[in-house]
Amino acid sequence: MTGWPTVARKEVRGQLGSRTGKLGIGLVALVFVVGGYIVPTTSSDPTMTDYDGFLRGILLFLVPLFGLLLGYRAVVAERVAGQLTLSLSFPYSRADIVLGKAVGRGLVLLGTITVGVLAGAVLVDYPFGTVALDTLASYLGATALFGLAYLAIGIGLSTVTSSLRRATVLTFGVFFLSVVAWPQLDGIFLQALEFLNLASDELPNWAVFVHGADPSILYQRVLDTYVSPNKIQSGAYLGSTGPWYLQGGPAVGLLFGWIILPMVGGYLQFRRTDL
Amino acid sequence: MPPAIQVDDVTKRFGSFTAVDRVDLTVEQGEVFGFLGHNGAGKSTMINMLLDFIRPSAGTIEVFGNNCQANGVEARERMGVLPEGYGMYDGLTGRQHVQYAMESKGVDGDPLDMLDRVGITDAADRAADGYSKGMAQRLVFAMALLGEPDLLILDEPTSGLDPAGARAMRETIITENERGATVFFSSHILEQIEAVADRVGIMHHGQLVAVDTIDGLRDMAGGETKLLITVDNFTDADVDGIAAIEGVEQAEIGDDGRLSVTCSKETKMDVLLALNRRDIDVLDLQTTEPSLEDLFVEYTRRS
Repeated sequence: MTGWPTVARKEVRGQLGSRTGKLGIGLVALVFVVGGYIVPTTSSDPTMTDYDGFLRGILLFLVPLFGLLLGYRAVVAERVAGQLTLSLSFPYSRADIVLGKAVGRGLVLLGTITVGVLAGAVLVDYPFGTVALDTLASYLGATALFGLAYLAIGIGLSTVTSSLRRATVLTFGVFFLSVVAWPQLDGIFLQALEFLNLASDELPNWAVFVHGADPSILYQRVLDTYVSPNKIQSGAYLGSTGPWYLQGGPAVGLLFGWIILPMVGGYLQFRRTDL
Repeated sequence: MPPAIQVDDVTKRFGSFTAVDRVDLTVEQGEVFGFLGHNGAGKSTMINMLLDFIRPSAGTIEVFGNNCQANGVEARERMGVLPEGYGMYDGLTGRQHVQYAMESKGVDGDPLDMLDRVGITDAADRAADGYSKGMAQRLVFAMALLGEPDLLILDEPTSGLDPAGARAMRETIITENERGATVFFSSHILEQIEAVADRVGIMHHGQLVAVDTIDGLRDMAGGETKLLITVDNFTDADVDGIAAIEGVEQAEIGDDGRLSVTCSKETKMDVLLALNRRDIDVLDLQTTEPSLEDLFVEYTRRS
């Protein structure tokens, strides 16, 4: 009758109402603000590129962690503790529950990152810096997509497990593998491909694409394309002369894929399971 | 008019364990149906399939003509549910719980009215995860009653309630039924079903072993009454004389020296009159009718 918007509203209220929720939201927003506060002290004419350069190392860990922690309990915690029993005795479909939770928590994540980035950008801009609006929008959009991808992965995990402990283990497994380990593995891939005579000296483009399909590398590729184009890396982004599928645009598309696929996959499993 | 609940040949297996075994059941609109069985007999599995928490391995379930699996939302729109194994939402007060249930069902009104109805107004603004089991049960019952549902599904509704609370709930069930609601509730406590149910279904080891009215079940299990009579003096001949009365099944002297007569309901007076004719004074008289417990033991043993 009322559907997922009611669930989403309750999710937002729940996140903003709980102490841990407020604490997490506050900490993440604070990092963005502190970045905007510090960058002008290190650069005489700061821009979003400096802001990105200063914060990227931290955000590559902080944003995925925030997204995963916001998502991984969403469904499984209520399933284990019985609130889901109550919700599903109301006229909600399971899609209403998953969508409502995703939208509600997605709004919390978007709000946190938006407020943090805007506040940080104001501090960069005033009094000595310059913030171009299109760069700001790109930065905000890329960071939001990055966070939403890990939120979706977290919620996806939350829908396929029936025990909170398994969800926790999987979540930290994903965090370690995708955020910590995977971006460091390009050297090993190169050695393996060289051993197979598929590469010499550097990774072929297709291998860069495969390795770069990880959300945190995609995020860097998007930033290197739209926010910090002057610092071309040899790793994730080969510059505008590289093949089209290694440009920022397709990377944005892939980030959307990381949002949609875990959600849909998790939901399809959740839809047919016995609770 | 489609039946309130229509269960057709439903089986639910968990691995090699068959929790519900080929159950057929029809609950008509306006009935109070008691669903009786021990813990683990398959009652909750059955109810969870009505709510689409779990899916039948075979068979179909409909509520007012809506398939509970394919059209679960439509089916649940007409239900008020007190499920088993629920948990309260973290950090929400009792009032906020009812508020959320109202939003979820699209019902307007004052949450306090509902809390009043189940007698937990005083706790309205306390966090519900700190409620006692009995208070939580009342709160969820209040949420189930919202919006005058056509069908109330109550899984072990009186568990955790004190006797007064259980009585109040029974009265509410009757009130709701008079309003026109069909009520389907499970219990392993026989007196509670006996007090309100029009018909009873007995689940045992996943099978529905009997469905009937309470009187019907009594008749089926033998409608005898047992008389325990304390008399001042009698002889074996008197006992034989009583046993010879038409309608008396058995007459004997019990271990405690009382005369024990098993007979049909209608023959009770004949027995007393016969004793009177034989100049035997009746000092004390006790009658026992078979309780649902006896029926239950009888049925579950038989299957």
